Amino acid sequence: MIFIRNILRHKLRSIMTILGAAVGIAIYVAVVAITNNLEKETKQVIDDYNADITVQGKGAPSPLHSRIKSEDIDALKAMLGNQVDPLVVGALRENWNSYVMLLGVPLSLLPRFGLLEGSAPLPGGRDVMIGTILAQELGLKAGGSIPLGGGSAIVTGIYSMGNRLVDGGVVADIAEAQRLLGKEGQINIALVRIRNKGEVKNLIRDINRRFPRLNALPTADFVGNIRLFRTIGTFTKSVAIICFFGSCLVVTNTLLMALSERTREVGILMAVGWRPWLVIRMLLAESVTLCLCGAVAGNGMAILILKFLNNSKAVGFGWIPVTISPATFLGSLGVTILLALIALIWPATIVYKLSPVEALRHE
Amino acid sequence: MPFLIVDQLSKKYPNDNTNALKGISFSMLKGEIVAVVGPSGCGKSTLLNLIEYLDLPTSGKILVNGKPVGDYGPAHTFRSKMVGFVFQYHHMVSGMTLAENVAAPLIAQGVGKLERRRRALEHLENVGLGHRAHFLPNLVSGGERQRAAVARALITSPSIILADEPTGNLDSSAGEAVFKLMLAQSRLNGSTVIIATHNLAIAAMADRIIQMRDGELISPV
Ligand SMILES: Nc1ncnc2c1ncn2[C@@H]1O[C@H](COP(=O)(O)OP(=O)(O)O)[C@@H](O)[C@H]1O
Ligand SMILES: [Mg+2]
Repeated sequence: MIFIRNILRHKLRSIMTILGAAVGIAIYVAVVAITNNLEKETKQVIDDYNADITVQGKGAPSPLHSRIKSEDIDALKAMLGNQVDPLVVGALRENWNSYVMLLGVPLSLLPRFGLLEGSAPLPGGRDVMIGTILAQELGLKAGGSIPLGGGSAIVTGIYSMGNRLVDGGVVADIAEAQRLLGKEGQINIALVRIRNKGEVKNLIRDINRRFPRLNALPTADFVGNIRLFRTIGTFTKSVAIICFFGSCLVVTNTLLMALSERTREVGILMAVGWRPWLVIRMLLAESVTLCLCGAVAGNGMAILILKFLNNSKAVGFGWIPVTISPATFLGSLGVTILLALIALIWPATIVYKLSPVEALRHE
Repeated sequence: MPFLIVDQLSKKYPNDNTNALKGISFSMLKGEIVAVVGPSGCGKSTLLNLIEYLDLPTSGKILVNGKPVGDYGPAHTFRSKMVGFVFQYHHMVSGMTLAENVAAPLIAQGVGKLERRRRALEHLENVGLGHRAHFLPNLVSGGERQRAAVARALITSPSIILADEPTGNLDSSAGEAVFKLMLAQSRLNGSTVIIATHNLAIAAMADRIIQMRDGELISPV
């Protein structure tokens, strides 16, 4: 196969090109894996509660930033009855990890965290339970103690929700979480369960009308409406696109070099009757082969990047995925084909404009 | 009726102030073999390139079988359907084996892979290169490359064969052998052949000789 021979003819150059493509693809894959995973796991957490309506402070970019005053919660409870579960969530900065997720949940919800060992913390106490990922990272067992918020807390139990985001964090009784996070008298979001599902729409309208400081949403729409995720998504996508065009330049440059070395040969092929498309097809095979090698290397690199991030203290435990989903991998192949095609545009226009006589005279 | 008519053909290259061809006219019968001779720079290659529709004349026209070359469709279609070309320096595509090089014109015609392979091997056998079919060009001798170039020009059984100093840098006996091979095959196919050459011994084997100097014909045609 001519395109394989052409690629092997300049091994070093081909390797550099494959790496150039791989970097762009790796960043794309890592970014997509992280953002998708973050949304997926957040959604899982919310879905786990089986809530019909999620209420947060108006204009909050994310549940972490949302504030609901306790008087509003009381009013909400009075309006809806006892189906309102307040949640406190925040991040603690500790010297063993700069991003520890702390979840404060009401007593009624504590048993929902699948306990692996020990027991749930008692209400009103200062104890906590921690997720398996965190327990593993810190080498902690039930009964141990964990430095938290300037003091230290007893770990009563270790839970596993099967969700890396939550399993990398700490769960406490709501009052204790408020104290640790300095959020006394306020919560982040409220989850509302309705017995009669037909009323959901009307209730959402009523809540939004009665509480101008709150924003009620059907739970199904909640994660898609987290503004922070959209901002992160936009930002990371921009970074990925810039890297993608960097990769395009690398591959384009290689194809241009290959074309210029072989201009006379292109002239020969045109002289024996090849139309430009046949020449471009040959370059396309080269471009696709290089880029697909880049895709394989890039996915490998992405896993390394994710593992590195996951191990780094600065980003917290658990929320970085360490595997790549089949959908993300397939998506990266799509991006790869796009890369191979875009990189070909410039070389292809040169082929189209090439005069066979000039090509044959080329040194 | 002549098969090939070259009528008042002129060519001026953009960055050159004299005409490379100055209104050349001649015609050829089907199956005729003509040698174009003349000193280097007299316009032989220019003439052949125009007949192959590799380049466009400044003025004048070329008729093949009564039709202007432009009427055969895009240039590459005309080249693919009508012409076989043997280049001066037996140009081969370096990333393709001899068999792939010889089969290249068939790719342009959309011939399938197996058929391409079969015909390429057959034509390589015809020029005594069956055993070199899967060699890359840089691994065979100049003479072998040139014979492969002849096989490539003949593989489509073209009506017109153009050879631009095909024996240019071969020693004379090897050159003559290649040329005889080409003539034998062309006679078999009834191809019309134009060969540009310095070599008078080779020119003498043609049916007719056309002499050129400074872009003009100087012998009666
Ligand atoms: N692509 C070109 N651009 C400019 N001048 C050219 C080009 N090709 C040929 N010439 C000029 O045209 C003249 C005829 O050249 P050519 O047809 O190659 O002659 P020959 O093949 O008989 O040696 C020469 O003066 C040559 O320098
Ligand atoms: Mg010449």
